[in-house]
Amino acid sequence: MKVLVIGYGNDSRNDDGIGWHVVAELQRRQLPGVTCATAHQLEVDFAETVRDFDRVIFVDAAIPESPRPWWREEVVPGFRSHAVAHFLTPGDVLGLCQTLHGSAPRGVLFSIRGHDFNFGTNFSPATRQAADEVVQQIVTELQA
Amino acid sequence: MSTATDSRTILINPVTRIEGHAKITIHLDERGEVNDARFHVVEFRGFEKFCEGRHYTEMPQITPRTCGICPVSHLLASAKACDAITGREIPRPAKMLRELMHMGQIIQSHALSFFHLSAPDLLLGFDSEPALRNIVGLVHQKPDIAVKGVLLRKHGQEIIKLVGGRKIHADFPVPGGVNKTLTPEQRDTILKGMPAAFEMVSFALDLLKGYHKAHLAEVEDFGSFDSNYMGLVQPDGALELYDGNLRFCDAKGEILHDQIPPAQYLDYIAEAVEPWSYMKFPYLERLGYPTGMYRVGPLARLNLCSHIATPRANAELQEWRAKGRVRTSSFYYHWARLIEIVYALERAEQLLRDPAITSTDILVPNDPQNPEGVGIVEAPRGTLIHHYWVNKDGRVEKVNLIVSTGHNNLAMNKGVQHLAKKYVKAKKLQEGMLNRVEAVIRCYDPCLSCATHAVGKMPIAIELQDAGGAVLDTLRRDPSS
Repeated sequence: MKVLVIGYGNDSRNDDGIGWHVVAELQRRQLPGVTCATAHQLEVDFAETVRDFDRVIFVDAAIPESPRPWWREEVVPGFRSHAVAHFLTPGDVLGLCQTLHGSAPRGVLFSIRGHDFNFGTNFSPATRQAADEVVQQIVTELQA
Repeated sequence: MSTATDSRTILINPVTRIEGHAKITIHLDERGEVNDARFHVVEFRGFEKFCEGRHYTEMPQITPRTCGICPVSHLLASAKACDAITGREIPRPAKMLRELMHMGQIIQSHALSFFHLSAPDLLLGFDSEPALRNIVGLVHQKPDIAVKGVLLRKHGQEIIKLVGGRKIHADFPVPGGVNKTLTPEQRDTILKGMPAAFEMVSFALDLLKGYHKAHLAEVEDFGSFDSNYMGLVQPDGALELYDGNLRFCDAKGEILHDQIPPAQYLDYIAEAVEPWSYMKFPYLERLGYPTGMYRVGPLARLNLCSHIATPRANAELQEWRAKGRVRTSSFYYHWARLIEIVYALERAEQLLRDPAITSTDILVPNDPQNPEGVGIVEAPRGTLIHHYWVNKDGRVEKVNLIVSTGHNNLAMNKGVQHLAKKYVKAKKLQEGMLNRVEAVIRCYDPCLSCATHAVGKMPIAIELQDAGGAVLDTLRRDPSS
């Protein structure tokens, strides 16, 4: 099974870059069949990239008001209208892939609650702790 | 819709996850007529502060991270500012490679703007169902067009990747030049994709020209207003996107200032601050604030340049100017973007066919010689200015960034104001206003990437209020609808 892990967010905005950290940790483990990517935000090109994979794992930061330190959800392919934005959601990426190519890989989104979105490259302790748990969860799932 | 009260301000809140918080308020006068519009954006001030204390050679790596949309433009403007601090001319092959990368950025960004963001408006209709008026709706109804958009953007991205090593956050331009050569094989790969890219942009041009003919009245009136214009030009006044000097024109295309070296921009541009926005309000100092409002970007560049130095793009420019030397309607941004794609493809081909493009003479020493440096490029959305002040050790003491969306700040307000005059009647928001406000903003393709996110909290809303601030009327659309 070919798996793509995409960690995305602004890595100059402290906890917003936690997806990059998760990807770095996974890369360090050199898991077989796993390709890693990072991005500032999801753009239309990913609709092309993901078509070559069986499964895509998205890792993103979530707003401080989120109810849990981290959570996992299946991504439902679809597409939302964005007035002036250039980004896509994970569902948009898979939805556009499906529309363009007739099928899309299965997608999972891990959201990690961020606490500090100011300029900087440091993670708050709670966000880092949650990210470590997410790394472990992803490793467990990939090895199952 | 909210309950009507005595309010006289319209609030539009087109805020998005990662591209920053923004809203628009439209203000009515005592008679209930539209007299002002304000586009509020969280801007780069915090980021400028974040850069202080860094070594200047780090800046090309730091500044592009403000933005996932036009990192290449920040990278190049930053590298040019650093070159100015070193005080050395970079080798010609390095300059060519940087410009080639920039052409890739223009192609991919303009293709995204036209095919993915604007084409659904044009091809599916401004008043079509919002949930379907997007790229997926376009794929379903006009699959050939959507696929062309994907492929044209991919060509631009491939140029960036092959020249710079990565599509985003490439570390290839460095102070003093670039750190990677282009191999003959990479050159040939890019050249191989050129004919198809030309074909796709020709297709888009035909499509857009057809739309202009069919909707002439709306096109000419859409966000149309007089403004000044600013952009880079070559020494002979030709369109320039990577280098050159600044030119300023008035609303009739008459040159106000010409061949202004980038380092002197502060002698011509001043910045106002408003208490209701974090965004800067640049204006032409000679004309004062806000009369000195100017536009940047594709429309401005084609309005102010004398000609285009490549044949196909220049022929398109002459057609674009057939009905007048200066186009004032914001709608013409779309057409201008497509002409600039033609130019970028032609220019990229010129660069690739120059034997020096594969040279290994790409870097000069980069020790700091000057206390400050300015780098300017024409980013896809307009003029991008990076200005750094450094101490004797090369540590950054102060940063000034003026981004394209900032330059266009006053102009976007004006565009929305023009539109609102048609769609606010009897203190009510008329049907179709939200769609058109979105569309007029899209003409400028603003990029608000400086802010971070608040997923699920970013609806689009228009509120009508009076001078007292109470809500009269509201139109609202959540991103998921």
